[in-house]
Amino acid sequence: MSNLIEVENLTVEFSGPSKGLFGKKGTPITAVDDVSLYIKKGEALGLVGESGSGKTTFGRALLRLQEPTSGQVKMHGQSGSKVITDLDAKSLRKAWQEMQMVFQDPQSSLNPRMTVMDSIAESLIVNGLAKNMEAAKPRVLEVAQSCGLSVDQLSRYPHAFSGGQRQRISIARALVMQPEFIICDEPVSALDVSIQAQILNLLIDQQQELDLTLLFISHDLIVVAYICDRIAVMYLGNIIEIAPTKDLFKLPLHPYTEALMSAIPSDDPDQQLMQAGISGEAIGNDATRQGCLFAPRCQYADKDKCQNVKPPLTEVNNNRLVACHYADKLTLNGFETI
Amino acid sequence: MSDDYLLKVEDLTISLDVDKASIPIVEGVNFAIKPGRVFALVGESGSGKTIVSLSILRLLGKGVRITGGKILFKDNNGKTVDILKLNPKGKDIQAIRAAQIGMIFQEPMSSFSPVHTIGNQIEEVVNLHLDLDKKQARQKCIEMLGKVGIVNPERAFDQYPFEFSGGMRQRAMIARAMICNPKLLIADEPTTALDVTIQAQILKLMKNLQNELNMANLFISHNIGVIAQIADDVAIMYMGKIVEQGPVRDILRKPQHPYTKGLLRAIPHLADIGRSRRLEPIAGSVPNLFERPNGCPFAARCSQFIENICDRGFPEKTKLSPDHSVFCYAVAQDVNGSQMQEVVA
Ligand SMILES: Nc1ncnc2c1ncn2[C@@H]1O[C@H](COP(=O)(O)OP(=O)(O)OP(=O)(O)O)[C@@H](O)[C@H]1O
Ligand SMILES: Nc1ncnc2c1ncn2[C@@H]1O[C@H](COP(=O)(O)OP(=O)(O)OP(=O)(O)O)[C@@H](O)[C@H]1O
Ligand code: SF4
Ligand SMILES: [Mg+2]
Ligand SMILES: [Mg+2]
Repeated sequence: MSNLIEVENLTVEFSGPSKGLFGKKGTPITAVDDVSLYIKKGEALGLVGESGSGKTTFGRALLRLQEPTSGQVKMHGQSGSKVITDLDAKSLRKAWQEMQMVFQDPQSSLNPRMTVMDSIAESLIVNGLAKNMEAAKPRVLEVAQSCGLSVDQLSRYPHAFSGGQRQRISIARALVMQPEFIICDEPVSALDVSIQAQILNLLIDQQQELDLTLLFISHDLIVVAYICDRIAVMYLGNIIEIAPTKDLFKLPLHPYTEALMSAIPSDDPDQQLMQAGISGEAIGNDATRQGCLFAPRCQYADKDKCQNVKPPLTEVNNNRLVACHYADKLTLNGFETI
Repeated sequence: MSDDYLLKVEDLTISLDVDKASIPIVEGVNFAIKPGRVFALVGESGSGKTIVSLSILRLLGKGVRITGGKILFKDNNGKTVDILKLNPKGKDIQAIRAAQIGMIFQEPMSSFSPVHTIGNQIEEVVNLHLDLDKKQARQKCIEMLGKVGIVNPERAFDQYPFEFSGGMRQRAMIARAMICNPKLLIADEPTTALDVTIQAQILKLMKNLQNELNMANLFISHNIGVIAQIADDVAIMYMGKIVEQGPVRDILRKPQHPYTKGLLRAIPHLADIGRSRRLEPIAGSVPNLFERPNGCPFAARCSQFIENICDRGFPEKTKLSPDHSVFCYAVAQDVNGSQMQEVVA
């Protein structure tokens, strides 16, 4: 299958934390650090990693909702190939018809003064896909229905909906444009498991019916495993491992991936919490950092190579990509039985 | 035996004032938390979990009114206080907040002031409740920031909230809530914004404090794995009511209420990856608050619905064991039926 999205050497820097509230800027931090990856047509790629590792920033940079510092994003859509990072404002706006984002917090991304109907129809009209409300209506109804929203709910305002319903509205808003690519940022983390199941089913169906391509960001590894064909693991702005879902869970190759797996809380009350745990948290990434970014917390780190040489993302064993000097020597624990 | 509780909630009812009408959002809730135990509230989004926890500290917002019940708390002097009788702005409840009952709020972003350092905001709690000099107080704060896993706690003390990532802010709030060694910690979704490794660290820390200091915990989460790891007792809420309650192993392994069963069936499991990707949500949706049914609140979605019974008033409590109880007509019929059979046999 061909690639829909190709990312090459994407980097996003933020000016660093200032000293005190009004102090001058410190060294820039690298939120996304020279990331290259592809997403195939119709594929769901998962993006997991520590809080603050740059997942949201990466997603926003793909759509240029956050301007990258350097690097390239290409999309090979039905309307032809384009380099997203080279588009002018007008062409970018047009490209957004094909690529949409569902944001981490639906509450803040819906306009409280617009009915749900208007909210969903808005982008159709703004993008010239429908002349007016009347013309937009049939498409809105169709999408709303597939998202589990009933016709009588469409005339209500967002505050009258629960968190799960609001999340469905924002998914409907993204789907109404019939995009080829959607980025979902933590779409279910605040919801009860029944509503979570509804929304995940909706995404799975849409993906299968419309050949939709997904980038799915979440802290919940099991949810990611359910939705995604492949998973990329991010650590301090770097992809440190990327693999097909089952392979990654069966046999993680990076020590950080192993730590993530061991920390998944089991729903058996008699099972011990986190065996191969790591402690502390990541220390920020800036240009001064040397060696493997995970080394300060890694139980397998040596005193030489790991401290001084940054391991590149390279192919080991059978087509697995991982950034660790010892990936082919370590035997790490995953979930062998799945 | 029933007297060894730290906190006991009796018949708590909380209503929402809407256009002169008063709509119940929490109704007849009963539970008790023992010292050193973790009591978890689980359930539908919007079922009233946060509202119940805020009422314990008398922090409910405008328009949300406690309309009945008691919240009994055994304070540091061994006296039993009904928290609902206290003035929500008075000295007594302030003395209880933070020093005796610590709270981790669902939204970590909004719970720190942007213009003061993290350290000063934790120190404030220490100064209010403990008798320490400036240096000791600072030291205690730094120690606590280290305990919640912040890498450079000395530097973090002097940083502002905007310099913290979401996960760091959440941990700073946990440090603030636990710094005075409260007898009860209320933790509302304390780990939702955290990745699993940090989440595991926080859960371990809470367990340790619970063992060391006999701290009790009211814990709210949608994540069943987290509940399995941390909780001793669990109550399942649906539309403002507790529908099932019991020890964590009973609830997770032998759920009885149709809603609890449905909830547990909807969870994705690692073992199923690649087999069937579709999940099994509970059919139907939660009724509107204004259309609260007369009978069992779950009736419209329930596969075990019994006509002319389930739609007539809220079901009585059925006890399956001294600690495990369910509010469901179908379960009651089952239990009574099999008891009759036993009698006959
Ligand atoms: N607008 C901004 N200005 C400065 N720094 C920022 C900005 N946005 C993000 N950052 C920093 O960039 C890094 C990556 O943040 P990002 O929000 O992408 O992380 P994330 O992986 O999505 O985390 P989470 O899981 O908590 O949502 C963090 O260190 C964050 O503090
Ligand atoms: N300040 C408020 N004003 C009006 N209604 C409110 C207010 N706070 C909560 N509610 C309503 O009360 C009900 C219970 O809300 P609560 O926040 O306790 O739910 P919850 O169980 O904590 O849900 P979640 O799991 O989504 O956090 C909901 O229907 C909610 O819309
Ligand atoms: S490169 Fe070294 S420090 Fe980094 S993950 Fe591998 S073993 Fe650990
Ligand atoms: Mg994010
Ligand atoms: Mg809540």
